[in-house]
Formats: sequence, structure tokens, C-alpha cells
Amino acid sequence: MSAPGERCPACGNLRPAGTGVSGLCPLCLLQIGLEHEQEGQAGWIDPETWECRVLNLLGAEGGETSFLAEQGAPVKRLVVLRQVHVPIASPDDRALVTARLRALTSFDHPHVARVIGGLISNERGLLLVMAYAPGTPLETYCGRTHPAEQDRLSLLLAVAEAIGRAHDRGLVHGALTSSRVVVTRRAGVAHAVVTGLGVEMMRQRPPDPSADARALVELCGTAGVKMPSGRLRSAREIADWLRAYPLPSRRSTPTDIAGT
Amino acid sequence: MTDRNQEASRDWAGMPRQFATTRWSVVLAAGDADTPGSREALARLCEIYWYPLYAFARRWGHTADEAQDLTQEFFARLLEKHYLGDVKPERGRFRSFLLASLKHFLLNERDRVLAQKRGGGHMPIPLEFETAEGRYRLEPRDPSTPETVFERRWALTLLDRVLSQLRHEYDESKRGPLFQALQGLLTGQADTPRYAELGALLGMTEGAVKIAAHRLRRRFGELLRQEIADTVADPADVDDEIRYLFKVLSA
Repeated sequence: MSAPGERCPACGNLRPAGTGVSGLCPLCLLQIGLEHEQEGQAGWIDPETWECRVLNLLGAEGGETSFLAEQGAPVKRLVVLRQVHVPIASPDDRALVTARLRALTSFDHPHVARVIGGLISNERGLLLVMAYAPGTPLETYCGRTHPAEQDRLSLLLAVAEAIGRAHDRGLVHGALTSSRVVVTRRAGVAHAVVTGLGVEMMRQRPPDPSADARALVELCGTAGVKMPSGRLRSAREIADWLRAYPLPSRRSTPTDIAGT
Repeated sequence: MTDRNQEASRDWAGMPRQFATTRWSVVLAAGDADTPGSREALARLCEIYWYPLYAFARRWGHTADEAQDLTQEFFARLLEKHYLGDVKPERGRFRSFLLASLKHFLLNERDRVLAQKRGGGHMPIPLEFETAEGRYRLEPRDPSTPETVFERRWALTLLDRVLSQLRHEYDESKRGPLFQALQGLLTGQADTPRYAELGALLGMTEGAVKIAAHRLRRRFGELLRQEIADTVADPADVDDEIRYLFKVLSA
């Protein structure tokens, strides 16, 4: 840990002298409190304390419209509102939606844009409120920056592991495309974030996890990593395959690529 | 909803709102009534946040002995409800209340308190004065006002407490070494090893370390918000209070 009075490497602010807090930057610690606000009960956002204004239309795919919005309270930040057409009129419908919302909002992964909660708009029905993940779509990022093979593998592995983790929790993306994986930079390192998890989940019939596995294989292809067709049937298998991928430094040892 | 310049939309239909209480709201709701819950809540808050008051009294110009006596007497009177009757319940903050009450106390009561024999009074809550002066000597010797010293120390006390709680939780679940290894990642310390190096150190994959660090941050955020919520009258004020403390520490 560095001494008080120095600049924090993360936020660049001068640390207040005489700080305790284990030598950590108190300003960064406070910032964490603003990132992790507590949401409503059982996945529903409390409409009494929630305010937002829509900034612009992000897109309309398959009848689902999404907006970029600025949330004003209880915390100020950008969010994505995704309109989901599901029945919510009857108590049974509402219970089903609530159960799925609860599962989605409790899923917290560094490589997945979080579902913050559900909201019922008088105008638009059910809206999923999701964390806004700014960044460049994976395919565009690879096309523009030509990252090294190891870096591409690292991004893809993070995505495959995140999807695998979601499947372990019974969550399925169902609409994974290269535009729904964005690359941003965190602490100077490229960081992949899967967006849109939850939209398909909210439909009456949750999609099959194998659709995510097929989408992952395609995603790897668009990022320039060719996978053996038809052999990898789950996100976990794809993650394992990516982990064991023969990098240039290892290609001279054929045993490393056994099983690929 | 579709108008870019539309003011905050309020067309959300209702899911029932849960009524939430905080330690400070319990104290405020009790007012002059001496209920066991409110007395305990106030005592607990005082036990946590006594040091900023001591630092304020020292910066105000009192010696270490005087500051101890004054802080002790102030809390004794506070817990005997000599002050709470005057508190306005609407949107009060425990931080603001304590500072205003202490200033009032120092202006009006100090001569009488200091004339009394030291150590004769009953100590209502355990205050670790042995360590207080050592801590105070580490305070920066800048021209900060006593109010600034109080508020800065308040913010740091709060963060220290949250870190201790988090460390305690990890220790309790036998994950103390994980906390030690990951705590630098809470704020992106320059000398913290990268995820892969930490993974090798901890016997975890790089991905597992990332998730563990993410959870550590999330839990820290939850505990921080809970701790701040206990010092404001309405949980909806937590974000404003965080921003205020941010300003205090950035100044």
C-alpha cells in the first residue's frame, strides 16, 4: 500500500493526509457506495424513489425497443431501459415475471451488464432496467485495433465463462451476438461485457442454453478464433477449449493441443 | 417517455414500497421518550463516531485532558436526553446534529464541566481515550477549521468501520487471506498484483479472482450504504450523504 498524501493511481486525486482505511483511497471507497445502491425488493424497482428521463432510442429489434436513459434518483447514472412484451396482468403472470426478475437481479458478474430491476410503465408495460455498458462491439473492436491473439482469447474466455456462470444459475441469454458483447477499458486493460442478458429470459418460454453455446462459437469466429464445429456444446466446454488454446509460445508442444 | 427533454418520468405503476428505518430514524422517532430501542441506537452511534468529536474539541483549542472530559460529559448528557428534544425530525443527519450539539455544548457548558473534578462522572459508553490522542497527533497540521477536521474524520471513521466489518465477515467465513489479498483491488492500488498473479498466489483461476474481487467491491458498497443509512433519517438520503462526504474529503 502506498503512503497517504500521494495521488491515487485509480482516481488521480490527492489522498487526504492522516487517512486510516488501510492505506486505500477514501474517495475511491466512497465511489463504490454510489455504484452499489440497493435495489427494490424481489427485483422490482421502487417507483416511489426512482426517477429517470429518456435520452434517446437505442434500437428496436424483434419488437423489443430499448432506450438510453438518465436515472436521477436514488442515484444518478445512465441506464438502459428495455421494453419486454410479456403478459403481466394476471397474478400468475406477475409471479412468473417476479421469479425471473429475482434470478436476474441476483446475478452479479464482472463481465455481464447487470439487470438492475424491473419496472412497470403505464405507457410501455414491463421495462427491464439494465446497467449501461459503454464500449465498442467486439467485432468492431477486433477490426479496428487488431488485438493480439492472446488478448482476443482473453476477451472470449471472459465471455464464455460469464455465460457458463449464468447457465449454472439457470439464466440463458438467448440472443448473444457480437453487437451484444462490448469491449471497454478498465485500468488500461480491455474488458468484455455481455449486454442484454435477461431480455429473452423474460419471455414465456426461456430459450435453450445450447443456443448460447452456438452463439459463442460464432462469436469466436468473428473475433478470429476458429473452433472445431459441432464438438463444443456448452459454454463451459467452450471456456475450457479457449483456456487450453495453443498460443504461439506453446505450439511447439503437440500434447498441449490434445483434445482440440 | 420518448421526449429527450422530458423531465423525470413518474409514470411508473406501483409495487408496494417497503418502509425502512435507520438507527438515526429510530432515535428521532422516539424524541423525548426514553425507549430502550432508541437509547441503544443512540449509544451505538455515539460509540462509533466519538472520535471526530474529540478531534473537533482538540482543534477547538482544548488540551487532551479537557477534550476527554468534554467529550465524555457531552455523551453523558446526550444519552440522558438533554438534547434530543430539540432535534427536528425532518431530514436530519446524525453528523450535523452531533456537530451542532457539541458546538452548543462547548460554548455554554465547558467552564462548568471543566470545573468539576475530572473522572468523577459516570462514563455512559466505552470510549477508547487511550488511543485518541495518538490518533489526533497524526491529524494533518494544516489550517483546517475544527468543523473541517470533524467532517473529514467523520468520513474516514465511517470508511474504517466499513472496512473492519468487511474484514470481519471474511474472517468469520474463513476467507481472511482472500480479503488480505484482494483488498487493494477495492480501489485499484498501484502495487496490487494483477488478477493472474493473485490467482497463482491464491490457487484460483484468473476468472475466479475477478469474480471474488467484484463481490468484495459489491459487499463493501452494500455495507457502506447500510452504515451511512444508519446516520440519516431517510434511507433515500444515502446518495446525497455519500456525495457530501466525497466533497469533504476532496477539499
